[in-house]
Amino acid sequence: MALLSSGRPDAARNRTGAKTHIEPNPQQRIETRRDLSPFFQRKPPGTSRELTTHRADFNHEGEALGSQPGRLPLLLDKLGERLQFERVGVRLYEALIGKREQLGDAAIGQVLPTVSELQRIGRDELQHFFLLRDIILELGGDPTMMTPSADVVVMLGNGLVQVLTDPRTSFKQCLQAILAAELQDGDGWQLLIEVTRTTGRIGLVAEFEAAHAQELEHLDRVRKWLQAALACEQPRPHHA
Amino acid sequence: MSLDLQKEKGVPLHLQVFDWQDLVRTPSSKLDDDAFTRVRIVLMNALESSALRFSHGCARMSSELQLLLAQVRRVEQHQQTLVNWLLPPDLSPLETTLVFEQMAIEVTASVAQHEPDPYLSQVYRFGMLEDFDHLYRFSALYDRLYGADSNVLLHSYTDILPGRPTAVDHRAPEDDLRRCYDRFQAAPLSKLHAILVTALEHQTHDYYMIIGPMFADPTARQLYAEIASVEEQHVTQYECLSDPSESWLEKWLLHEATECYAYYSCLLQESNPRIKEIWERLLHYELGHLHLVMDLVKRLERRDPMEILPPVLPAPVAFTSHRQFVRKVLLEEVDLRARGREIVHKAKESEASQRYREQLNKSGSPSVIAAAGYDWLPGTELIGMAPGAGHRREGRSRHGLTQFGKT
Repeated sequence: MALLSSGRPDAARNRTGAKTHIEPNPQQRIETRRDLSPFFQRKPPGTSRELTTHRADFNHEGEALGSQPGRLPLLLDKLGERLQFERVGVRLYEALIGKREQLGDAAIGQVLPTVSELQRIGRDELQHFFLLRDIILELGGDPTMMTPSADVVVMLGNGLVQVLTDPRTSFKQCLQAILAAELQDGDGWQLLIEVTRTTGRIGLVAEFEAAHAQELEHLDRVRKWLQAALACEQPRPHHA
Repeated sequence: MSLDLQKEKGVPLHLQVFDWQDLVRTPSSKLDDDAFTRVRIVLMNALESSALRFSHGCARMSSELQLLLAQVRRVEQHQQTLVNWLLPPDLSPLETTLVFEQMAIEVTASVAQHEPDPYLSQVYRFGMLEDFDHLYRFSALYDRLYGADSNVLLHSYTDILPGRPTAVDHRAPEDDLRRCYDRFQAAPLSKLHAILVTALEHQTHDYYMIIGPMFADPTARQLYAEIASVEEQHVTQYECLSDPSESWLEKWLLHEATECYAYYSCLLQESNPRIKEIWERLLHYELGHLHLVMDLVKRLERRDPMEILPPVLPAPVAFTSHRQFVRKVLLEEVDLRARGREIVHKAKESEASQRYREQLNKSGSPSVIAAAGYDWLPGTELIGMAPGAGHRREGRSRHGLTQFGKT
C-alpha cells in the first residue's frame, strides 16, 4: 500500500528546545539573538505592563463571574465550592483508578497504591459531597447551584481532568495531578472551617474538621506514593 | 408589534463602524444570565457565520457582486465578533457544546411549530430528536468527566433524556437528502426557517470539528467525532430545503431577511439590557444590508423584492421551553428514519443506511459508551450513588454500585 518508501523512522526525540533542535540548513539557523536585531527595531514600545493595565480597562462596570443570592452568601458560596470540588474529586479518582487498573501486574514490586486504597479515598470524596449537600439544604441553600467559587473550581479542574483522562499520561503524572487536587482540597476545607466559625455556625465545625482530617490523610498518602514512584524512576548506579 | 421591511431602512452601510473596544465587551455571565440569552448569542453567531459563508460562495460565482459582497461581509464579520465574544471565558468548550444543543432543540422546536409546510415541519421534528439525544450524551460526558450538572446551564428549560439514539442517526448520504420548497409557492417564513436552521447546524458542525481534538479523554474525542458526523448529515439535510433554482441575489436577499428576522426575535425577548441594546443596533445594521440588496434585486434582476420578502416580519422565534412539544414528538416519532427524501417508519429504512451504520459502529459507539446507564438527576448522577451505611448523612442509593465498590 505504501506509495512512498518511508525509510528509517526518526528515533524518538524531543524537538522543542532551541538548542536541541538543529536546523539542518545552515542558512535557516538562528544561532543568536543578535541575528534578529535588525528586525526588532520595529517592535512597539513598552513592556508586559501594557497587557496588565489593558486588562483592567475591560471591567469598568465591575462585573463579577456571578452572584450568590440569599442569606449566608459567603458560607453558601464556599460550601458550593467544596461540593463542586468533592464531585470533581470523585471523577478524578475514578480516572486514577482506571490508570492503576491498567498497570496491573506490571506494577508488582513498585510502591504504588492498590486499587482498593484508591477506592477508599474515592468513597471519602463521595461522602464529603453528600455531607456538603445535606448541610447546604439544612441552611436553606440550593446544592444544585453553581456558586461563583464553584465556577472557579470548575475552571481550575479542567487541567486536572485533562491530565487524568489522557491515555498517554503515566500513572506518576496522574499522581502529580491528584497531588495538586489534594493540596487545594486540604486548604479549601481549612478556609471553609474558618468561614463557618466566622458566621457563627459552630455546630458544623466538628464535621468539617473530621472531613479536613481525612483530606490531610489523603494528601499525606498521595505525597508518599508520588515520592515512591519517583524514587523507582531514579536511574540505577552504573557498574562498568 | 411587527416590523415593516419596506419602511424600516436601517443604518446605511457607511455608518456601520466599530473599534476593538466596541467589538470586545464585557461578556455575558455564565452564572447570572438566562439560558436563553446564551441561546440567542450562539444562534446569532451561527447566522452571522452563515452570512460570511454564503457571501464567500457568492463572490466566487459573480465578479459583478464581489465588491459589494466584500463591503457587507466586512460588517458581518465584525457583527459576528461582537456577538460571539459575548460568550464568557469561564464557559468551557464542553459547556458551550451544551448551549449549542439546547439552542438547536429549542429553536428547531419553535421553527417546527411555526412552519406552515407539513413536510418541512416533519423534517425539523426529525432533526430535532437527534439534537435532543446529543444533549443527553454530552450531559453524561460533562457529569462523568467534570463532575458537573448540565442543568446549571440549561436552567431546567430543556429535558436531559435519550432521544433518537445517536448510534442510529448515521445514514447513507442518499437518505440525508430532502425535498425543497418551491420558490414560487412557499411562504416567505418557510424560506427564512430553512436558512436559520441550516445556519445553526453548520455552526455546530464546524465548532465540534475544531474543539473535538482538544479533549484528552478518548471517549470524548470519539463522541465529538460521532456527533460532528451527524451534524454534517443535518447540514446536508437542511440545505436541501431551500429551492436551488433561486438566483444568488434572491438567496442573498433571503439571508439578509433571515438575519433581520432573527435579530428582531432576539430584541423582543432579551432580558439583559446591555445585550438587548446590541440586538437593536445590529437589527438596524441588517435592515441596512437588506435594503442594499433590495436595490440590487430591482436594478439587476428587474424584480420587485417584495415579491420574495414577507411584507412584515413573521411572529418571532419563540425563545422559550418547548418541553411538552418535544416530549410529544419524542413519544410519537422516535422510531422514524429516513429513506431517500422521505421520512419513514424504521421498518422501511433503506438497506444502504443500515449497512453504512453497521460499518461505522463496527468497533462500538462512543455515544453508547459515554452515556452507559446514565440517568440525569439534579446535582449529577452521583446523587443516586449515596455512600454506604455507617455515615451519619446516609442517602438513598438508586444503583447500589459506584466505581469505588459496593456501597
